[in-house]
Amino acid sequence: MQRKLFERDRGRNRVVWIFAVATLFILGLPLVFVLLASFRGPPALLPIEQSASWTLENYRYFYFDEHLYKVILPNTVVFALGSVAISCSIGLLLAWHFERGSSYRTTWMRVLVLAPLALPTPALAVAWIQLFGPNAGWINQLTRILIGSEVETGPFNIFSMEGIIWSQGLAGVPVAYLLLSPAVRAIRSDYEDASYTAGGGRWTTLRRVSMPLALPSIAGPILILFLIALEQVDFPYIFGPTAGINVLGTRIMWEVTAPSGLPNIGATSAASMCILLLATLGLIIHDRVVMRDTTAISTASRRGAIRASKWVGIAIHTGIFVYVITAFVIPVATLLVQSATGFAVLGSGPAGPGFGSLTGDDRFWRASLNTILVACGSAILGTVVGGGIAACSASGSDRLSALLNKISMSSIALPSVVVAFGVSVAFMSIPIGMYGSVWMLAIAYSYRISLSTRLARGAISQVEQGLIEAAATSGATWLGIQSRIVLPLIMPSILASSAFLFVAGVKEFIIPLMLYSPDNAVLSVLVLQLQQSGNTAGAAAAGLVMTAITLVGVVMLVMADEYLLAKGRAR
Amino acid sequence: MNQIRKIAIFAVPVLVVAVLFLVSRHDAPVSDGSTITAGDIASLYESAKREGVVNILATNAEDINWIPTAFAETYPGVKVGIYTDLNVVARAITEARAGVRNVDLLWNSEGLIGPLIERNLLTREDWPKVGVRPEDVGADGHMAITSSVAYAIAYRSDRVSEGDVPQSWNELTHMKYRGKMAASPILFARLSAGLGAFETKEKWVTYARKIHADSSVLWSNDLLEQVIVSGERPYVVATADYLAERWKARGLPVEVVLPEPVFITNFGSVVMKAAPHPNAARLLAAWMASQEGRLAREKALLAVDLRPSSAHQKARQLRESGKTLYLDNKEAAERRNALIPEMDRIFSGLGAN
Repeated sequence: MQRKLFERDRGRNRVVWIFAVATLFILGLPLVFVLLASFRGPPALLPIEQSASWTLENYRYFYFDEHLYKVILPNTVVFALGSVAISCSIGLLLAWHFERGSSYRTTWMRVLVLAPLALPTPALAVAWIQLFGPNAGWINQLTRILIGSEVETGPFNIFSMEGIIWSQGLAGVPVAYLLLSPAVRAIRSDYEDASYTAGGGRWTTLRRVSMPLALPSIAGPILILFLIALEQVDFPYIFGPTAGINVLGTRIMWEVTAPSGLPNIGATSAASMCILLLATLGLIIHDRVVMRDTTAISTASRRGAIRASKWVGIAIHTGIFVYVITAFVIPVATLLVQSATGFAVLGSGPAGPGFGSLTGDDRFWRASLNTILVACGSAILGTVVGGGIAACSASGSDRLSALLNKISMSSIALPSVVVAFGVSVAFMSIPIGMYGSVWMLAIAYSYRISLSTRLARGAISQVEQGLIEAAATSGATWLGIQSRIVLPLIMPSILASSAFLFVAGVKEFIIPLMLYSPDNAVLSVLVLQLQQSGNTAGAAAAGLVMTAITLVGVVMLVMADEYLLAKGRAR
Repeated sequence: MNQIRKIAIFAVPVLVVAVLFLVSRHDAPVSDGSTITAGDIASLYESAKREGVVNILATNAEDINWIPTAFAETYPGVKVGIYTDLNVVARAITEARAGVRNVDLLWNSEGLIGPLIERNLLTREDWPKVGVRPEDVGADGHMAITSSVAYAIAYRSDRVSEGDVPQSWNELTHMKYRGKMAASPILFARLSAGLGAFETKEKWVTYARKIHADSSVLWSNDLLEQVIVSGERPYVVATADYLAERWKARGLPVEVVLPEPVFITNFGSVVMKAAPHPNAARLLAAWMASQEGRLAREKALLAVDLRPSSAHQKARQLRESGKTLYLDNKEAAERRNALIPEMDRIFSGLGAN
């Protein structure tokens, strides 16, 4: 209905064109580059070189490899399903607990749950090795003592498919929670109350009322998490080689880090077409689910709709406690020890310079400022463009908005390294003086608009059409309705996506490394540089600063969210 | 009409981007690229001071971060800018292709700069004219060699008995090392390909397959230090000698051994043809290859030159040990580069192609 109301609204049509140009700039350039590069070869030449020619060789090389179908794709599916199942089940449970349950001290509990998001992946990996390394992992050693085992290895092994799924799944819990909580909150509690009044129990209400209402907006985040998992590199790259396990993300990574010297950009681009295809399929499925007629709206939700028993509450809080200890406290403690001594465990060497070495280093202050600028800039840009595309495509059936909606999803299929390469070529070629600047990084990071588009789209689909129709009948313009009705209602989703983009911006590593110049150095690159130069203590200290910056972002997000919630209740 | 206007609004930015891209598709502007005419370093220094700046690009910041301070002590007035990239060769080619003139010289392995020579992006210098020893001139006159890197094994001296210290690469296939080693797949691929370039390909491909399939190596490009520190694996194999020496110098109970055959690669500086500060680039490259530059590098990184031409005490000890030594050179590098894709596939777990 909303679609027909605004198709001829001039303000809306102008906004569609503005977002089309913005999308072309932040996503179109890398996307076109990936498409063209996938047809350029041979591998000994970069796609931009004059001697390179048009070829299908990259597709033949990547897709005519039986290892891909026999090993890599099955591994990828197992890994993606496993890790998403862990992240989403825990994330959904937490979302339900905090958004629909009657938990007290919610604010700081939510911060604790989101805290692991702030940790750099290598710090998490070191902590997991420390705990579950088959030879010297603390839990393995303890278990061997307890069961009186005489073997020198096991019983747990982080370098295995189970280990990779476990570590990636737990690392994904904060993201899953972040993306799922707005969806869970959007469910009308009066439907649940009606169910209870009619004699429905907790389980029946959850199964027959709450879940069907939440499904459209839960489906979007789950799909996104699954697609992200398909190209995930973090833990599969760190633990996978030892376990002899390759997934799609690491397969692509090998082409980039080939020891022969030149990265095989053509094959990497051809490989990303596979993820692009899966993302498009996912988009079609998602849109069919989301666009189904639903009446769940977000104006009347409240906490406390579901009352858990005392023991269930204790069990949940214990689970959260164990989770926070393993996923946040131990890695942070590892970093602290490292920053103080320079070594992860021994503490036997000379005390490392740690924070002391950073405060006197100009590079550290510049990198910290750059990190904040780039993360904030890319979060704002990505959220505005992604949210704008969602608003446009939800309110009209014109071809351009539909195209933008589809293109936005393609960003999920673009490997960072190819994006970095495409952006560097574009900014070198366009003489606007941004090559090597911090703003180039902010634009390069912003290509991830799929998440903000999907989240906003899911949230908009739950806004009650009656509100919009009433406003339109009263003479409100499309822009007025979006800014005064839709935006306030979908604000939790907007906050969630901007927080995700902010965190991704702080932790992003590949793009700034490939676009590095002395002027645009960020903390993630500095950590690597310090680590390589043997300043392990300084690297750990810089990692802690990264964690602190992210944590500040997380706290601000939770506080803003709580404020909005309180404001909504007051109304 | 309205539709045409809309299409125009959308198409104009696309066309602008495309035109700008095409306009920039000319070959990089090339400086004269000629060898210096001044006969001594003093006049080169004067020219470099007029340029004022020199920008150096390398893969790891650690390899060049020490340069600005040390260089300024000898040649004040020439500021050194540090650039790093995951892949310096790709970056140099891309910048040259787009006509961007940022970087003056690169510091890299002799075996990896082939693509830049093939594309005629580097100057060929008369290095001895600026004080570089003839034995330190590499890559057909393109490179001033500054140092070498030997592939080594680091082991925890508090956990490994003397009898269990491997003395050759072949010993690593022994079952007693199974589940005890950690290594970078990239470096192991380069090592195996390097040894294959000097001996027979088949021998070292078989070796690589055996190591990958049977030895339960912990493969990691980034966390080797943490792995050996935590005791998860007592051996880090196929690592750079100076990295292991640095762990030891920082107080870790680590010892370093160079297994036989000892494989050594050359590292050095090359000057870009499109260098915006060519004289400063030559001066810096010559200084890095000089005795003074080597000492500064050794002081900063504990990296020493182990090549037979080196006068360093450790190089002499290596020569006297009688170990078989393979020194990488241009011909070997070509054979090595041809072998690397196969080794890469083995160590990345992708099997035979």
